[in-house]
Amino acid sequence: MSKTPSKLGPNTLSVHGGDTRARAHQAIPMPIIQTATYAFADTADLVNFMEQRSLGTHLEGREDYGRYGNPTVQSVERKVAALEGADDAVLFSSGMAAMTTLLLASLPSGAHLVMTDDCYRRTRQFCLVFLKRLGIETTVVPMGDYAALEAAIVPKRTRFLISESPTNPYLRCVDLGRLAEIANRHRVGTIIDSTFGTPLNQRPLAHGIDYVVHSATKYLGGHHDLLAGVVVGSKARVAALRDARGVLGGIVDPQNAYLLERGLKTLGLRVRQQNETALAVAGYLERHPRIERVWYPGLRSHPDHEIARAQMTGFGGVISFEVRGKLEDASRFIDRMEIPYIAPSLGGVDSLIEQPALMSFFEKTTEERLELGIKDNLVRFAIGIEDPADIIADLEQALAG
Amino acid sequence: MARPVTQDTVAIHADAGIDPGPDVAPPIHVSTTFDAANPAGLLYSRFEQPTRQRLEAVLGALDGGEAVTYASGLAAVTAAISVLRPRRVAIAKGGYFGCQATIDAFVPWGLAKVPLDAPLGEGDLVWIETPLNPTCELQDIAEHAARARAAGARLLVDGTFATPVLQRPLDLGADLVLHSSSKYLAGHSDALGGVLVARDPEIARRLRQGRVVAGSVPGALETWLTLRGVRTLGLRVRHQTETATRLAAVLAPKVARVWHPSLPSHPGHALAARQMRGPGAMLSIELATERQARELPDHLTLFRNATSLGGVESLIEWRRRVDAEAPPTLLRISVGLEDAGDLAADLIAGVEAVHGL
Repeated sequence: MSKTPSKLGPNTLSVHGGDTRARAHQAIPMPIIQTATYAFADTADLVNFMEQRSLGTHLEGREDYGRYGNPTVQSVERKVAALEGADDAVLFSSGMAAMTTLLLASLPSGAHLVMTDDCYRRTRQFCLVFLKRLGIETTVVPMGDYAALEAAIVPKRTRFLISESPTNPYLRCVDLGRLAEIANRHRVGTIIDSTFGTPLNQRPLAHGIDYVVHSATKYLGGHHDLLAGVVVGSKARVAALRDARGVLGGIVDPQNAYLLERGLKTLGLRVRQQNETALAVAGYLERHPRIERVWYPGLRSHPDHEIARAQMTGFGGVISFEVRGKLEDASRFIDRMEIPYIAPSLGGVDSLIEQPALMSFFEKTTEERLELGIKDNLVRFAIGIEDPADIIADLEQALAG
Repeated sequence: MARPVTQDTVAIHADAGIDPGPDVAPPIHVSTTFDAANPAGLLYSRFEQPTRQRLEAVLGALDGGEAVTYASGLAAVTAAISVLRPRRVAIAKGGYFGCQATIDAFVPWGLAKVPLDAPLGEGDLVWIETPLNPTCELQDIAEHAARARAAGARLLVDGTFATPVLQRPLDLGADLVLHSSSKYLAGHSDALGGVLVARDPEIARRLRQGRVVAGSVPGALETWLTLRGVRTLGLRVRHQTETATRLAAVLAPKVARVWHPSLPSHPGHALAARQMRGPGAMLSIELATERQARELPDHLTLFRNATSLGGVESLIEWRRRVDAEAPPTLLRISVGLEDAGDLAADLIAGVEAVHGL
């Protein structure tokens, strides 16, 4: 299964994708190789390893130190690559470690980035604050404005076009093929944060995107019990990032990696259920008189519905919607919900609900939030794998109150 | 939760509130001992510990009783016999050989093992495994429960093959349900465990007391992994059952015999429709010759040649390797989460490759 055939179904890939089955004692699941360092049989073995490394020919499954590689971690990397239809993937300690390592490893001083708005606010903060200090400028353009995106490209300076798709919290979708086409024309790279998309609902690399980033904490891990991130791409690009990870140090530990691998095995089932439930819930909310507006790319009313339909096979488990009334009305509705936890994050087995105005933008005034496009009565609902009938019944009682 | 909810929701939320913290995912409590000031009255982890309490809350809710977990399925079997102390166990031949061996271990201590249809008396224990390993033959739970009750005996149902997703024996009158949680409940071939779910809280209390003495508690990490596995139990078992049903239909015309309750030719077909919410995710096949059966696993790429069942990955085994009573032409198949089309293609290619051997 190491050369995973692409014709296998999503559930088969979730269980077996990328698995070489090369492990001690023919154990079925990957062991947790809990080691910081690796021994050499003798000096000749060490010299051979160093010679191979200096020639750039990495010995498969052979490492010298835990920061450079770990078999449990590599097993997950192969699985994510198989799910994305990619050459390779590299795992990090969090989604932000993945994104920041990618940018720090790829950008020279004086470089320029173009980013769509409605992007994860910490990615935006990293680019606008931290990278700025290193002499790297970022231009933020409105999502969906491809003319502005192209116009923002600075010849010879712009290195990447960066977007999330779908975005947080409005689930806006960038036309992946169009983004790649613009980038190619200007010889600029592309990065898509596909966390909300999952490898089962969309595969950005197939549309010509260079790098796909996931917060693996979300759907990939799927149980709200681990933090991890991943970057997927071509063999050479990923190899360079793996080297950078060895320097910057944002590695994931073997226990987390095992839990991630274990979570990935049910990814196909979980995401399919979340797609189905979210579509049903979005339709229910859209018909409800107490709901002003629903943002879900599976709905015809969503501004990017056509793009989403063309490039996604499902629309994910996150729905954003506006409850009629003010901030307090949305809060009261959330407090009446019984099934979801009030918590940030998404993509896990437990449903989570939150009010972005309070969870992510608490320190801002209503006016400042509106400027950022965050309405006070906006609710983000990250649906888990509970029974859809129970979730709709819960919404029904909470909205009736 | 104020309102009654269905099983998938129960599997995710029935343990809420046991740990006081704000964490969404359950903590892995590794502490063996607890400060005397703790409000829950925890003492030492051989008695109770919070991660185990969470798992037991979920498993109890799923089966509609009170759950007591063990270090393995056979530790749960040992507990059932040693705590209930029946004079006689009425059990059919066959089924999982491990359970038979554990029950046999009590015979030198005075336990009588009698046929399932033997006349019953006060305090006897009727023991049924349904669906049965490896042929998935069924027993009528309600019928055995009525017979046991009339005689003052108790009924234990080993429901490992069915899981509470497909069958709830306590609702049908059983006194105890047994699961090897190493199988579907944990579901990822990475945690050993067992559970007894009792209808009567007094029996559950005695089981807990017995576990403290026997020391057969599951470890913290296994307990936590099992709880993590149970979160996806409904999705997994329904998907695996659908796939098994499709594989049974595809294989039926190509092999000597298929054992799966979805097929009208299976002796449990009608009862499964009545008693279960789906015909189950396990099936067995018989090939024309022993050689074909022994060699088929070598011709498959998706199925691993290994014993055990209920995990995310599909397994196949020539059952005779571990069970001397299994027919030499029989292979047992545990259907994993892979897509049905991929598994069917793999099996059909394998069956064709061994054809004529």
